[in-house]
Amino acid sequence: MAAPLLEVENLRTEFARGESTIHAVDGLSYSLEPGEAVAIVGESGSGKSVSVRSLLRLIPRHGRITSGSARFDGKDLLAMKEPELRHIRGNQIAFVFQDAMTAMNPTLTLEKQLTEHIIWHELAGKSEARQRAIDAMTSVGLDQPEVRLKQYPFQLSGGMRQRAMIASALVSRPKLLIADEPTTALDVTLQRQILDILKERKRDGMSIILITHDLGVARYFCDRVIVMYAGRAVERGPMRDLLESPGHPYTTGLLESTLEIGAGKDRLQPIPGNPPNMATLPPGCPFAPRCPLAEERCRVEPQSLIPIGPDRDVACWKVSEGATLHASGRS
Amino acid sequence: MLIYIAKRLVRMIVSIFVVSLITFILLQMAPGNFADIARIQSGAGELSPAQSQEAINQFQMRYGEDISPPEQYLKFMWGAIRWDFGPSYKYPNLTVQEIIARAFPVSASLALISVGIAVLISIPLGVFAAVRQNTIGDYGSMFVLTAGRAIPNYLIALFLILLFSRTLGWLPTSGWPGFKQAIMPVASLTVGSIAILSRYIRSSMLETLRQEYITAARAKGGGFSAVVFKHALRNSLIPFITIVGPYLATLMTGTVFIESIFRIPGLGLYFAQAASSRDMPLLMGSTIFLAVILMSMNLLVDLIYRVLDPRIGFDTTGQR
Amino acid sequence: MAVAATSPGEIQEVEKAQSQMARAVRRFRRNKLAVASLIFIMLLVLAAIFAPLIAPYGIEDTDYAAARVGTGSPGHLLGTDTIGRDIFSRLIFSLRTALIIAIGAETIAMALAIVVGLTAGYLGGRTDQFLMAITDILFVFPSYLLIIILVTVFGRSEVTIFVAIGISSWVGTARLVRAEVLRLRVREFVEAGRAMGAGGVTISMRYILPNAVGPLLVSLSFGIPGAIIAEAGLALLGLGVQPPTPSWGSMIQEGTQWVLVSPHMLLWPTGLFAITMLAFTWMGDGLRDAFDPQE
Repeated sequence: MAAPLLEVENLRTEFARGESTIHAVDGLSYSLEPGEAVAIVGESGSGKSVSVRSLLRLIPRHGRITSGSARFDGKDLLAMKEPELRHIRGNQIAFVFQDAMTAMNPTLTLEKQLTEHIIWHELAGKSEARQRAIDAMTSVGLDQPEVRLKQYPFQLSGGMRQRAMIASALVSRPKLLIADEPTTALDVTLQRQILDILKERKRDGMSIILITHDLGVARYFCDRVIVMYAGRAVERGPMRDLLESPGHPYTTGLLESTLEIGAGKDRLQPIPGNPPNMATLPPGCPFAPRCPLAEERCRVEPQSLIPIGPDRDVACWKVSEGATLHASGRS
Repeated sequence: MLIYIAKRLVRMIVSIFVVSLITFILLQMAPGNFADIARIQSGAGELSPAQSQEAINQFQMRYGEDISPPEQYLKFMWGAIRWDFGPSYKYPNLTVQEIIARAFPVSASLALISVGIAVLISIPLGVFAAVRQNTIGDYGSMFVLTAGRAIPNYLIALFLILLFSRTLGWLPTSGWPGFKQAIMPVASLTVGSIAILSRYIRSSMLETLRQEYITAARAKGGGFSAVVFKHALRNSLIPFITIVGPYLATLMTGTVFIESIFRIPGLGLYFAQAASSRDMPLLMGSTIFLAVILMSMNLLVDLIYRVLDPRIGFDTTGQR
Repeated sequence: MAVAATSPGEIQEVEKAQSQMARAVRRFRRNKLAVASLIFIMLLVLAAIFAPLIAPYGIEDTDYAAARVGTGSPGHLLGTDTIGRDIFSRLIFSLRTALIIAIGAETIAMALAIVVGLTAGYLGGRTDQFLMAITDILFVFPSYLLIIILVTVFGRSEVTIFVAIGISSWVGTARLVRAEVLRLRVREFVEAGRAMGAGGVTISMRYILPNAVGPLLVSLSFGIPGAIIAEAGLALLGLGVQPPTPSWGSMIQEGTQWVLVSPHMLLWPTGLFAITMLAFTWMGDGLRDAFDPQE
């Protein structure tokens, strides 16, 4: 097998808040093959967004990446000097943000925003960059690209803006595209269109990391899933396997609470309890307070990922010993 | 756009009339009219009897002793619209508009030079403090500038005089124009301006840098120069204009203390003198003139802002 | 119309306001510079109040033999002025005058601002537009010019001066109050209060004002030095408080005339003035950060 495009090992990112420290990402590891699409799924606050921003070292000022490595094409993104990392951002690794309205500079034209990084990285001259931008816009389904280039973000509709942002990411022909909740701010039809664009890109060989809280979105084109909770991966594995027989109780809970059109469910089951308070995490498994299978051992002993299949692991000793949480919530 | 300008102009004209009316009414209530003061002053040797009599004659010729105040007001405003405020009482051989035309450029240039220098220094300083937020550089520069904010410009002027005229003997304490004479007056105004403007740039930059599109620019591989200058500063400068404009206007109309200390013949100085000698036309004329300047500046700044920021149209329901 | 009962929502809001206040106080206390400035100002106020007891000389005690003697001369800590009056004593009494004027001016300004701001914000509609039109016009009146005219017209007593200053400076705070009212008007606890029959005045006073304390306090702490600055400026132009009442500005004015020969006459008044202004600014900044922290 070819060498993985991205190898993340034991990533830890912290935020200082007053007296306490928040371990937003607490030992995350995974790898990504070329041409693969991985979804990182979790509730808000699970650390999924922070984890990918950490890869490009784009976390806010009060945060620190305290340990771990992220080897991209063999070089560790977390250890390299800033100029070298800058050369990879917007070039070989592109980032798509959740809300195009806030992620685009309101006072600059689309042309400027879709071509400036090409010029920074000296990938092309001004006119070629412009052509690339037009091609990218066409490929994401934006009509009249020449006209749009002269427009400002506020002149576009929400869906068009999101496409423009994806186009901006595609102009540099990146090896890896990281999309942080790219469809959350859109309505369902638009969601589908955006996901189709990403699916097509993947087919053309681009690797994708998709961040989402919605398993329904994740399953659209992703090969593998990493489920995160309270800063840690609680389950990893191929998409289909995970959906058919979820391992970790949290994964089951997510499935239960996800609306899937046409899946024929009679009702949604929200996960009981509240999302964890990251400042005051209990020892042991962070999901224990809300887990139907929880026992004393769960509350005391921290769980690490245990393999339960050739390409699957779960951070739950009970599941690894055969316990399963059926769809109805009974064990 | 033209409709917007028209609406604003109408509001301006109404405001000017109200301002002039208020000023007129207030001045009518002042004890002692010009003629009395002139007689007192000629008794005290400030004006020759001939001069004061001349002024009184002018006054009576123009307004007549038995013209009622409302008529006086209307007569005055009728002239005002045509840029004719009539002769000054104190300097009867000069019309008020001549005095304004001579004195205002002095005040204006004083203010303009000070603000110009201040802007040139404030922008880099504010950017520096924002980029080095919460470091020694940030705290240090902002701390030092507090003095500029806290201490009024005339006090800074006096400190400068203490230092450079009294102790070092380098600079003269009055006179205009002249490079050496201008240093301290300009410096007094500039120090305060830098303190205020750089603080503004700093907080505006801090807010801009927090925006998601700045992270996005970095995610595209933007370096310091591209992110800070082409994205952040550019967007911070647009609202900065809305601050500098009115600030400049306020400064132009507020140089009275500096002019008084350094004996600079600007409009502020004439105004202060006019107040104590009840020089009605000059008081009315300069108040109206300065109010017009303030309002025009605000309008100009508003228009520039709307042109620069593509998001804002000319819709007057505009908040912004 | 008094509202007797209190709803749970109202109690919550009052508690929230109180805990906001407590948090603000805590934040302020952490700011060493602001606290030190506050203490300094309180000392100044005490000195002003007890001026007759502290000052070694009266304000009119002349001593022609000791005219314009410098700092540290026997019997005169800070020297004397042209007719031998002790500068230290006059400075303390000037401080008193300045504070009286500043407090008077701010009282008027605050009162006007609160009344106009509350009325405009609460009643809205035509009243609001009318009041805002008035404030717009006053805003364009170059402020020092208005003060000069008012003092010229109404004379140079302490009262007229602080009334003039108050009148020319209430506009900004009025806008602030109005903004707060608009912001708070739509909150549920105000609706609840109205449902219980509370009239506009009650609602304004009990619900809205307490929440606006922060910005008002900040406005006040910057308004006082502003008033002192205005009065001193007036004195520089010859329009300050009438002698024999001593004023900071007039001492500075005299000092300016003798700066080349007897600099101490300028140095001490301006020095104390500068330090006082710095203290007010640090305290004001501290208050602003306490009520509106921007991490």
